[in-house]
Amino acid sequence: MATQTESTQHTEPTQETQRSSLSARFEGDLFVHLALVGSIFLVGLPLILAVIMSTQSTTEIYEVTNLGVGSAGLSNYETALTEYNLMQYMVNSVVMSVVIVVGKVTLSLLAALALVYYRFPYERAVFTFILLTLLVPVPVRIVPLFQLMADLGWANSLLAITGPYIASATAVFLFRQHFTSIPESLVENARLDGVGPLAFLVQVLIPMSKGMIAGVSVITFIYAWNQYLWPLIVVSDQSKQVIQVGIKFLQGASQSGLTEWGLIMAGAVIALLPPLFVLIVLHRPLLETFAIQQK
Amino acid sequence: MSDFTKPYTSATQAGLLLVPTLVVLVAFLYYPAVETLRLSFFQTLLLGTKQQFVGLDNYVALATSAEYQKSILVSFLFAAAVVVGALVASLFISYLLFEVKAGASGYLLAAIWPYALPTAVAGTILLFMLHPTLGIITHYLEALTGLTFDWFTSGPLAFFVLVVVAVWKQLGYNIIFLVAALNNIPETLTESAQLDGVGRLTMLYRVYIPLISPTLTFLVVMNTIYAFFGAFPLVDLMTSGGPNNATNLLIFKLYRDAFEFSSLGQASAESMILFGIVSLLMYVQLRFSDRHAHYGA
Amino acid sequence: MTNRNTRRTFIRTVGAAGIAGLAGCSQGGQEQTQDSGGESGSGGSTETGTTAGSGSSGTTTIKFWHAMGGDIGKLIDSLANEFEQQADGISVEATQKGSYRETLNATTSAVQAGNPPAISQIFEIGTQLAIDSGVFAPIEDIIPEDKVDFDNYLDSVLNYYRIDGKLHSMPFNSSNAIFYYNKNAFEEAGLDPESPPTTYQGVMDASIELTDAGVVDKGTTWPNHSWFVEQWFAEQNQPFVNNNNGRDGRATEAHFESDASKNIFDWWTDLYEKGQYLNPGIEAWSEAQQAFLTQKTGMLGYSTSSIAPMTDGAKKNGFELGTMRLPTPGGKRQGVVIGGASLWAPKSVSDEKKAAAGEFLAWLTKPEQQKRWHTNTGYFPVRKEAISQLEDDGFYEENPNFRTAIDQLRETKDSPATRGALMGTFTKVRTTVEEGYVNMIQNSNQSVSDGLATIDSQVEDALTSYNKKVN
Repeated sequence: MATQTESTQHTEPTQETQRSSLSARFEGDLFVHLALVGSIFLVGLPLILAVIMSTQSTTEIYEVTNLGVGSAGLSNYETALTEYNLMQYMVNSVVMSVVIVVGKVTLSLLAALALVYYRFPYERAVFTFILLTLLVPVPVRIVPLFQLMADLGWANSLLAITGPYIASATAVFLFRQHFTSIPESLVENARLDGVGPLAFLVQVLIPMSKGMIAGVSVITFIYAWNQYLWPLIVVSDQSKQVIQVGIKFLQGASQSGLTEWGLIMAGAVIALLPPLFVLIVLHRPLLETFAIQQK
Repeated sequence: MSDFTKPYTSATQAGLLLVPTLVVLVAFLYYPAVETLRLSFFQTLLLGTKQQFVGLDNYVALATSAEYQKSILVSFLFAAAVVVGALVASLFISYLLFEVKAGASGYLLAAIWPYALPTAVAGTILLFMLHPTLGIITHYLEALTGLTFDWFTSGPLAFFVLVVVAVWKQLGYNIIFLVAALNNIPETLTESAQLDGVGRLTMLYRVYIPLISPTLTFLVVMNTIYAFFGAFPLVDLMTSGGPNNATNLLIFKLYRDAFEFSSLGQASAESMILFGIVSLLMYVQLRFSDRHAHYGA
Repeated sequence: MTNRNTRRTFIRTVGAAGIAGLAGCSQGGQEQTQDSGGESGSGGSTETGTTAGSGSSGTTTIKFWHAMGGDIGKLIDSLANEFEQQADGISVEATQKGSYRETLNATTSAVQAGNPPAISQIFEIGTQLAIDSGVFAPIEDIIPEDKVDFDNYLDSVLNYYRIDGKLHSMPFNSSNAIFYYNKNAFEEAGLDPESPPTTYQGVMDASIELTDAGVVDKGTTWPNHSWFVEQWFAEQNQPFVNNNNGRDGRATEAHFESDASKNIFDWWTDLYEKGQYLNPGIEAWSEAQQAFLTQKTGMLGYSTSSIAPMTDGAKKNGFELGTMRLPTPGGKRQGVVIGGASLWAPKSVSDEKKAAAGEFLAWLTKPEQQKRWHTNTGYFPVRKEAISQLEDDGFYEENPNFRTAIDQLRETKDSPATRGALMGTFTKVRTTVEEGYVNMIQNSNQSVSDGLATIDSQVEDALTSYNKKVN
């Protein structure tokens, strides 16, 4: 922490400052790396343990001092995927999450377009109306919602687990904030050229919002992926169930009276892969422009 | 909002663009919410199989319940601890990620992967690892410190464990936003400050935090909502609201009243009160940040 | 009804508009809905919704929702398959809907939505609530009389589920609480592995011997679960609540300040304070099991439903398993209360499906099936013949651990206390008891009697507010 000066790649330091800043930079970087490794280790510890345990046999897991890769190898994964049908649940969950992401991004882009680039009465009220939905707790909504699904004939279908999630206050809010930060000159050009609203969205706004779209997609994907209570209630057909409920099924699995934690850990690691994949794919655009700006 | 000239004026078109979102929200959020409001005036059996109008009885019962008052207090303390904890920890890690010269994306992914873990699964796994007598982490923690860590019978300890786990779970979300916000700061600003020989912490405090204050405001609001609503599976799986209601958050209490104790009517009333509390809190937060956040640049 | 239909139409229109932007997915969704055999494709009409799926094809499909995971869940699947093969035109779709609670909630929601399963498994303490909800048909009315002779069912099981002379649900998985112990640990500590303790004092003494010998960390464990407390009330012939345990009218008063109750909680808190009770957590079945099987404790209070897997588990962990009857204060033994769950049939299901469900339930509780059910799990067979047949086969001689459970059940003397309490708000009462115990051990300044007074008044409040709802 001793360092007071900090050099970056962008500056062209003079001969004199270069030397001192080099050592400072080394010290500073070392500190940053150490702090990062330390905090990432702490943050990742439960998951590292989960990965280790997913390779252990049931008896090995219960030995608290046994911290090595276990003897079960990948057999827990195999059992989880085949015998407990996790593969099927994963496919269902991927379909559900992709539908929700695409639906939510599309709907929210349209709504944000209207909110930012249209003049219409009660703008503020409409926006508030959308934002307020953040505050309705899910658990109690479930009962009326379930009846609604039955009334619509949607129960036990993909519609039931995606429909209620394809609009969201957060996504509209984020897109709206992002659009307001887009330079007025661009908007002005579009207006002078007489570009229609949808063309304006596709040609100007979307290319300028890649980062934000990536960000909303990641967050939405993870949110959708994590749904548990709602699918459990509304999907009655086991083959249409989602991964989170599938993991719950694993918890009921016990071998000779002992909960098979290896299997549960393997299930957790498997369920972690798709969101992780999405994160890896989208992390670059995400970091480039995914920030909330205020105008 | 700046008052630049909006390019489009057709209210009909605007309406069409908004309709899909509004319809989904009305059908799947507002309609059930109104139904919840209606149910809050009823006494119900199971999930509403028998309903009997009772006026404000549910609200009166809640207002006079010591358990409910404690639940409100606990929820506020929990939210405060989670919001502060999650923001400080994620700001620390994000700043490190922003400062690091090599391997930034690797570090970034490593730092946010726990966020991809579903809360319900996280609760299950952590309960197993943190169990007071059987957990592996508890085992080593007790071996290292020589203390006993029986959070099943200690209210404050259970509360603490829950806060730590809830913060841990929220870190990734915050880091995504914070790193992006930091990366968005114009380089010229950073450079000029650095040439002035400003230290790291001072930089963070004086320059970066004001610049990313819109993101911080957003995160304060989102983390508040998370603390009030999203941490529910953790309570359900790890503490069941105990011991002695020390972790009986409003969202857990209302879930339990609805689904375990078959009092959907009362849970609906709780839901309306929770709605009121969080709206008020958000209003205060936004007003506060309007006045204090730095929207320069 | 008119009102409801109007609303429904409105909602459907709005809903359709809402997903217009997602035409593609909506298509897929419709297809999926139809795949489910029309069970839920019926849309707006509650009335036809329940009958759809049966009809012209000649096969009646019934849904059976249960809460049995793992090996037991698989056993149910295979029982359902076998039934299908020998039944004419009935197919059974067995699905695990999560825990008991989740199964109950899913069933209630489905009933309200007009699309319930034909059979739903509900835990024993949901009995009064299920009756009060008015959504289930008494099982006696749907089982074909020529298929079932209820005289052949175990008395203690019938006594539990028969209310006001009527059997409301089909007894299915019934269990008691027993204690398991580690024979090797007993031997190492110099205790006689063939004569386990039978009293509270005996358990305390054995625990101290076990820990003094350094064989285990703590003497004993069991889930912090009100179920054990209820069992110990029954053993002392003390009803849990008034009005003959809620069976002669709504329960209004609780008996937590009785001597029987004090005996239980004095002993239980004493065990904890002496470091002899490992607290696995509230309703923490698997944690308690884990502590015992990994030999952290020498004894375990658990359900008889796991005798089979537990025996196996002990062997794998290198010790021999013993079972003993529930320890009681001073050896008082009135008997135990039936636990577990029974099978219910929602009223709104079509008659055809009800009949099919009746067939299935009659078949499921036949001695042959019950023998398999019993020997693979430890749940009691609900039929007397199943037990006598197993006795003739010498099953209990070969498997003495099963014998303990059956003996304990048979020795039970019928009384209001051993029939078990009926309360609509039983889930809340259980939570109150369990949290009450945590408060007692958390706060050593508080006396057991003060803790019990608090539990007593909280339980009575819960009873009062529930009774207000149903009166």
